[in-house]
Amino acid sequence: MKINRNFVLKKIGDESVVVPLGSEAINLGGILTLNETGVLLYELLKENKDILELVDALVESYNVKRENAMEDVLEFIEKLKGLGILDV
Amino acid sequence: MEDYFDNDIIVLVIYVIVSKIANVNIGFELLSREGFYNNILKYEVNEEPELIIKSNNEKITIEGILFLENTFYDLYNANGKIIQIQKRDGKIVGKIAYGNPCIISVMNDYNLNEYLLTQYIFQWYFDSNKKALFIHGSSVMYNNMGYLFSAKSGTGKSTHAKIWTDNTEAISINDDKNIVIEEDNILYLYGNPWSGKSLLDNNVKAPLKAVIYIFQNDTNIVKRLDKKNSFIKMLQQVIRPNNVEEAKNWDEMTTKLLDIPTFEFGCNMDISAMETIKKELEELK
Repeated sequence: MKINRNFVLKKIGDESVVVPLGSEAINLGGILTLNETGVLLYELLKENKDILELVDALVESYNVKRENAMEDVLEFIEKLKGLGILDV
Repeated sequence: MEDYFDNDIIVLVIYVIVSKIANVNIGFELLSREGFYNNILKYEVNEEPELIIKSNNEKITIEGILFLENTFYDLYNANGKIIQIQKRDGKIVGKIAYGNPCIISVMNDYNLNEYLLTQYIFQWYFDSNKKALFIHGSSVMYNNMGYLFSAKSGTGKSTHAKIWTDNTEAISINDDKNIVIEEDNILYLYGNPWSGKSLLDNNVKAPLKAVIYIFQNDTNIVKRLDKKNSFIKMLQQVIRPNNVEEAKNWDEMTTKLLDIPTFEFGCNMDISAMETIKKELEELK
């Protein structure tokens, strides 16, 4: 799993968005807004962390149940894959 | 400069000029002396070039070079040199071999293709070497300040800018591809000769005071945008870098551009449109 190199994470004031560049800008018209959790997971994916490490980070940072964290991580990953942001 | 053989056969006529565009001396060697060449005359200087662009009409071939990617053009790698192949209606019309000098090869309409290919080189050079941002729009200088009217093609930004230049002492900065440059933490709009079909631009520089995204409306309504909405509008009109390596300057420049007052302006094509937005802009500190 790897974040496609043609996407950049950009902070706008308090918000964070993922912006497609190059050929991806043509494929995906819009931008993706991330909440705080999204930014945390995105940064970890950029460091090539795996699913379990992402789950650990959520459990640690937000004190959530492991199974809920797992659900959220999987959902997030599916979403990124669907948008072409995450290469499998 | 015209080169002839003794026996009256014209080998190749090349027009040579050095123009200072957004503070960079660009040496052009062009095959066409039509619209675009005339337009860069406004920027002519008697100085040494920093970047050289040489045009020829050699046959373009893609044999033996490695395909990289396709966006609005095809990119290839030829022994470490980036080659851009430009097509129109499926046919190859031009080629850029990036470097300094940049070598372009043009087919058919020399004037049109030299305009197009040199514009790519302009973007590439500033994206990789300067703190610069390119935005689609029509800009004017009024009271020594720069105002950028941006919108997708066909909305009427040129028409709106023309209301300013026709009815006030405002002059056009650029009517199509605006370059914003950062100098000492201030953003400036610089005139440049890549100004679209109208070739409407002036060799001037003005601090960017406001960005106005326009849409057509029967009545004139102005709304100030917050940063997020400014960014969403900006993203549709700003030229994005090709990859993450070039994105650092772009990220910095877009962040700085969000500090400039930004408006959304629903307007008609009447002089009252200018009066409405002018009043709003004059209230800016």
